[in-house]
Amino acid sequence: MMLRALLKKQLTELCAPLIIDRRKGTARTKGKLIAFSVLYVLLFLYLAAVFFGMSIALCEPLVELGAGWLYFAVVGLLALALGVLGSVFNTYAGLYNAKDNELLLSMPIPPWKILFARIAATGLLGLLYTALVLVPAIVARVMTGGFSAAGIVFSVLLILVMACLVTVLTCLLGWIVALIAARLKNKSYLTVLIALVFLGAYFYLYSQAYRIVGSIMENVGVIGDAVRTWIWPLYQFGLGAEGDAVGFLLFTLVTLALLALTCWILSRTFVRIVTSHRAEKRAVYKERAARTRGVRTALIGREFSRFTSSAAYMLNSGLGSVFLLVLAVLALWKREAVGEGIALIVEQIPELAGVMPLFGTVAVCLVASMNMITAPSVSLEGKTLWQLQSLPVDTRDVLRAKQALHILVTGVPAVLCAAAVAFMLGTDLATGCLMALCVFLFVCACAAFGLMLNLKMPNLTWMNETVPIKQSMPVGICLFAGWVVAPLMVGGYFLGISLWSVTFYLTVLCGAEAVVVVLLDLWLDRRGTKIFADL
Amino acid sequence: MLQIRNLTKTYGDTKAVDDLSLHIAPGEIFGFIGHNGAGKTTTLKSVAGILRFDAGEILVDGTSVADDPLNAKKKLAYIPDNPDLYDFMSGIRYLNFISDVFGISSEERLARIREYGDAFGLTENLAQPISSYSHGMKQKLALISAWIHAPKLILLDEPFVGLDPIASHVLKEKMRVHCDGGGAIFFSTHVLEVAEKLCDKIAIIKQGRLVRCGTMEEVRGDASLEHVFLELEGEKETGGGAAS
Repeated sequence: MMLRALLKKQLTELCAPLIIDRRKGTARTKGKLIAFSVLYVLLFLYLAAVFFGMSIALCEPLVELGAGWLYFAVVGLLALALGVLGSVFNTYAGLYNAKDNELLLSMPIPPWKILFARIAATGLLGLLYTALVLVPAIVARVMTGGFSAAGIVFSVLLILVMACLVTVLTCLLGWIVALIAARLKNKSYLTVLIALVFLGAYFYLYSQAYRIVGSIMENVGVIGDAVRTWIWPLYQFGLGAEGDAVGFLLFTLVTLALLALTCWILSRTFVRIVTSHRAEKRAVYKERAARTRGVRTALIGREFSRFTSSAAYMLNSGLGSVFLLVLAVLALWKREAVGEGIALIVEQIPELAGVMPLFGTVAVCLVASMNMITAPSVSLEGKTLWQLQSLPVDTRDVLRAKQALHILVTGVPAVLCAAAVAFMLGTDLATGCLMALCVFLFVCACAAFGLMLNLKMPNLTWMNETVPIKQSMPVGICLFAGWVVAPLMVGGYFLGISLWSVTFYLTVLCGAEAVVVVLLDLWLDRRGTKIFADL
Repeated sequence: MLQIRNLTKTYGDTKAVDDLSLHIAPGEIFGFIGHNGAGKTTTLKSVAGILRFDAGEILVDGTSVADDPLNAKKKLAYIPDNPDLYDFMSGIRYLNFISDVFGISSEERLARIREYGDAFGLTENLAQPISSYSHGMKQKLALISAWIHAPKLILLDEPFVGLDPIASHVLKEKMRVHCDGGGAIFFSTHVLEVAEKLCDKIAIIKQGRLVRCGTMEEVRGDASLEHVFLELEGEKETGGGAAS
């Protein structure tokens, strides 16, 4: 009874984003609920179609070679990777950072039941990801032909077993993250680092997908032997999915044993981790003279502290900076390869010969537009807003500090990236400088635009900071604004292609951006400061 | 030190503060009493420059809050009833931020952090993140941040809520010392016993209007402050309360 109530609560939590409008705190209307459901179904169908395409390409040749088990081993590994990637952060947050942990622990509920309910919710998420890969894979296998009835039954059942294995791995990873986080002072940096590692791995695998598939085709024997030797459970999974009862039973038994062991390990440390507080490892105050700063520097410092204190803020609003730096390194590293690619394009379309600096500039602007640090910055003041309003600081200085943080975090890597792209393209110095200036002004405009939107649409009553950071209108608008502006920036050139050179057009673009920045700044000076003071 | 003249503040059709006038002289601890929603916090926030008011004038040491808010704010400190501080900072970082805003020299801030940190028993916790502080610790940190820039006027909204008995005692002492040094304190409270013992002057507000104001003796006469307050609120049948 108790466990059922806990499971029901977990399920309600999982479905809450679909059912409840967080902004209003009310249930979604029937129409919205249907619209959201259709949207989710379409998204899943799209992803399933992508995995089906991959599966069918892999299935036919491998089955023809008599290596059907290897096909399932590969898609099983893919399902495992996707499941772990998709749910590892939710696992850490869901198991150890849930707000109701202390409330539930204060009730007469055995802790293992709380843990079990949370692990079950993780398993459900894992099942979703696993099914997303394995259902299309099974359909592809059935369509290829020669698939036994036992194979169909076992492979469908193995979706559940694979979800259990995903749960085992995510729970163990979540547990390790919790153990490390309990000993760390700056959890946000660790979270960002781990997220970047996973993101890097994801992009690497994505970029290598076709090479990996090709490699499997060419080296079926060698890879098959390697899987048999080194990834024994996946070998059994492959055999089981192809209809081998022994393989099915072995994989199931090993997975269930691992699940039991994981639950045992986690239950032994659950209460200790959940109830541990950082106060146990106290930072010691040492009296020393502080460096005095001016008001503006202090305000920028405050914004910087706010930004770096939240992994969600850094990841959602500052990830563009990482991409900009990666793009800059790639532009320098792969200079020759990209040059050859551009030469090929120009050979096909000679008109594009001189336009590359513009394309490069717009590409950098597009990546820079991924950063939206100012868009949630006013809302993030939340209940602490009274401080800025009661302190003797100029409201415009407060807003400038928010803009300055965006420009520092985005502008510096964006200008570096623009310089790297200019170097890669071999532009002359004047064009290179114009590219950098154009990108910098674009970043300034983005900073002011995001701030203006947030002043017009603030949300100071949030309970969870991810609401203004992820689910607010200003952030949503900023997210798409770049994709609207970028084609306009390119289109403008082609409108008057006979009238101007790229260098001249970049100059015009810089002028236009400067006007936008000045207009937005004027708005912030006059209207923005009043709105902020009246919040 | 503080002049409030004919202050009026409305929210929609509701008058939160209605033609309120008060004068607080240097050296005075001035208590502000009223039921929930009487207009105490609105008045304090208006003085602190957080809320714009519809009519009237507020002067902090001769500087108009409406006309010259920055200079007025430089002379005061405000602590709300539930101080939400920057959770993303440590205690010491927060105090340094406040000191930077008020332009306090390195030596002065160090000396004041030592004095008030030790007095409120918070020095050892200053390196901890504010997010790990209890309600009382946040209240103490907010109080230290108010005193760190030696303001002329201190505005406190329910300052004793959440404080332990020792910290409450220290706060009362610091309030007295501040006013003896020529400063002034304007604070709201529901704890009538504290107001009775601590305040030089007191004002009682009801539905946004001042109903009684004066020295403790003038306000309560021979009765207790609780008796006078209940009488003014209409909770006691013994005689009608008249506004001063």
